[in-house]
Amino acid sequence: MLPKVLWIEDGAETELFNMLAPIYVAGLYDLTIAADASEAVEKLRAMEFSAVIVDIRLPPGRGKEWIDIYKKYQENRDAARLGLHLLRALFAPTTTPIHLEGVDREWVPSSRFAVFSVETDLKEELKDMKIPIYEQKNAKTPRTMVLEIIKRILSHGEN
Amino acid sequence: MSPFDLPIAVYVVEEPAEKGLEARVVDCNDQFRRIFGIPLEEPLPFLSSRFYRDPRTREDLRQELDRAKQRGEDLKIVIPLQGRNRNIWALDFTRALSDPGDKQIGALCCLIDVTQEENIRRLLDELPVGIYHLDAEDRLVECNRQFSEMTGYSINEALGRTVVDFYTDPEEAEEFHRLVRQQGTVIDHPLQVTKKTGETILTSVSSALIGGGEPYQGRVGALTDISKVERYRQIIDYLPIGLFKIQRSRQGIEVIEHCNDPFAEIFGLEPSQLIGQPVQRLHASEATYNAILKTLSESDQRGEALGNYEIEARNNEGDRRILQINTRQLKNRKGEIVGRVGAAQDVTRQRKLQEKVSKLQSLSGAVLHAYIHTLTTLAQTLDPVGEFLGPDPYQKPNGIGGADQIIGRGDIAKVLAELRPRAGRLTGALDRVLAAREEPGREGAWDHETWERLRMLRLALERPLKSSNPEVAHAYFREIAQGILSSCNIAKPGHLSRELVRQLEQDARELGRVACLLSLASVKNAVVEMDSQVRALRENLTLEQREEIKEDIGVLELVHSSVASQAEFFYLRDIELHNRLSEVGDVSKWVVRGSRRDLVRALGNLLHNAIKYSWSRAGEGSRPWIELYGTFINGTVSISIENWGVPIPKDEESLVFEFGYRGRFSADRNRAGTGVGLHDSREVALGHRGDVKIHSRPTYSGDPEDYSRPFLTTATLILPIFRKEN
Repeated sequence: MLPKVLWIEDGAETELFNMLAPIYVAGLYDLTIAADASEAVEKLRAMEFSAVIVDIRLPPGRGKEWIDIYKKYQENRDAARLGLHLLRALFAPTTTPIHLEGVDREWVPSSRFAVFSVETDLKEELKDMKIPIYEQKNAKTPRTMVLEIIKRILSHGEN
Repeated sequence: MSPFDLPIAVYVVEEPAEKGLEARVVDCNDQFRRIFGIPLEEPLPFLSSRFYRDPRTREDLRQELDRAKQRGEDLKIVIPLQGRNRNIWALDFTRALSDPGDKQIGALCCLIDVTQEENIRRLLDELPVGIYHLDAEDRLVECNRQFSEMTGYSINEALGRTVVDFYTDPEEAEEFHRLVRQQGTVIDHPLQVTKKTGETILTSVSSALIGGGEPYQGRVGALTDISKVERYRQIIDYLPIGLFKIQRSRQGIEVIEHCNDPFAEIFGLEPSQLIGQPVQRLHASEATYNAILKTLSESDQRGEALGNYEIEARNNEGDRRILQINTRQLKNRKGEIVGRVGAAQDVTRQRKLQEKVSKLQSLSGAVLHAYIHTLTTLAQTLDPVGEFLGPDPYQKPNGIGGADQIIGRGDIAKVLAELRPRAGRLTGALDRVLAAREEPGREGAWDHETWERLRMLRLALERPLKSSNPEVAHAYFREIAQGILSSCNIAKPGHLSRELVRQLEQDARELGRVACLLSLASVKNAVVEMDSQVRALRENLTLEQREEIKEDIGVLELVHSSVASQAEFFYLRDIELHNRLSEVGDVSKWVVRGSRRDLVRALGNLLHNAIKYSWSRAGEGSRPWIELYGTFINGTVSISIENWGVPIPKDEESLVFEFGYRGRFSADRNRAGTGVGLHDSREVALGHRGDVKIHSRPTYSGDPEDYSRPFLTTATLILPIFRKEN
């Protein structure tokens, strides 16, 4: 059975579709995409993933809790980094108003997570949460970047 | 001894024998004559009416006497009387005199002149100050009417109460008691009093010891209700706006007469440090001071106060502060200027922020301008590159359409229609190569790893055909084709037939070419769309920087200009516009007023969204379309644009107007965006006293939250009608 990979990214099938093809062509992973914060939580509740790649700026989706926090930061949209709230809810629950119910915490060691985002100021916080991989999106990012991140998470797990 | 020998005025009144006649004083002593200034030689009797200030007093007195008699008492009353050249207050004791048949025939009266005491008592009662007298145990033994009114207790209820019954805080009362005993006299001490109703009022109390010291014999005092004054004082002190009163001397020199804390804080000082200081000293320069005086004088001549005038001031540390001043001159009866009052607010931060925002707006405008250039260059480069990749299999023989439209419409069936046969041919060629591996000598064409890679690519070739996302499909095929071409490039000669490798290379190249055409079309679509978004963002960010030019714009003209602004996007997405605006009578005559540039963009944004979020109506035998119609109600025109496709869930209908918000389904079928358009449209509409409304509803019966099926979404721009042309 192929390792299950979750990519939480609203632009995965739109702006970033070029990054999907190398993963599919490699044929090595069972890839699931979550396009918003609510969908991400649904997927995390539903099954165990070997690797999870998280974008920081995410739309809230249908979950009231996520819509509320998104509205709360209405005046300062820069702060509505819902991907970061998702990671905090998993690895630093006291730092976010979001409470994740029903996610099996047994399988979610932070070592299986990576952040792939345009944000550039997360190094320290991610280090505190023990998330080992942090890559930034920019125009020079190769289209194989997500594939590379998956490989790195999985090799990290093997070590 | 006769009653007439008493050292007080004694007199006898005889009731009139008949009705209509007056009562008479038939006897009196010298004291009586002295009080009323009647000479000893003036003979008795005296008509009683001469002693009453008010003729009704006599009748009132009679009735009081009757009531006293019924109670078996003598009458004791203070009555207003008049003597020679003076008013008299007299304490009158009256006993009725009756005949044997108990008929009242007169009265024996004693009278004490209490004019002085009564005048003082009345003065105290009428004073607008509460007066009290406390005994040695701080019990109230006397108070005036004002005290009673102030505390809400009647005088009878108040007397006998201890002072702590009146003061809200017993500790405060005790402290005040100590202070009076220490100092003998305390002036204007603030104390809170609780009224009978429970309401508290703030009073200013002055008090002095009786007897001048120890042992404590009690105290007298006066209290004034200063609640109202205190409320005003609190407003002045706590209002977060600097308030000032300036006094102007005859020589024209202005000094601060009074100011509140916030005013002093602006300068980093206490009010006491500012009071008495020349106003000019607070200004950054003599020129700024003279400028405000000149403007103030001009306003005054127009009969107006000076409003929102900004001055440059310097605080205590010499820092520059920008103050916004509202002030009005004060004049005396002769109309001479004696000073001014006003409010000052430190707006330094706001002004700095404004400057920053303004700079940022210019900068953003410039950066976004550069982006537009880059996007234009990119789009113009993509066109010839696309031509080199031709021929475009999606183009109709008449030259219409092409990969641009197909990818723009997101029609997976049409995308795959050209990719599938090419992928089929490549699969066949790859199968033949992989089959040849088993033949002797063929294995050496590639190393094991490459053979395995080719085998994986063969498996991968099946997958894009199952994709529902055209973007993923062409990117996927492109990736596979490229992988196969890379392998072809490193094939070692002499192991496989040239024909076999050439065919594989040719089929991979052809599939890759069409996939690249689609990828290119996809990028071009994204560039065109992003160009529109960046333009909208730039226009929105620089909205306040532009000079506002208002003009009359016909509703039809507005619609035509907006449609024209989206012409390329209509073409790329192969969308028809069903313009039903002309169905509304007189539409050509209605005129709105505002910024043409902004209104065209506002409606253009709505059209852009309608195009972007339309689904193709495959199976319905027609191209996708959007409808445009109008209504005129109550002096407004509503221009509605309706599309069939991507849903906006109910809970998002208000969120979509927020800057940067992208709906849950906005990325449907690779639709890019920035979440600026709707926000921009609404901002423009509100700026023109209009609005934008969004309504999205399912086009089918059943689950209203089944977002996998199309919704009918209506975006309506509402604007006030300015006039109707004849």
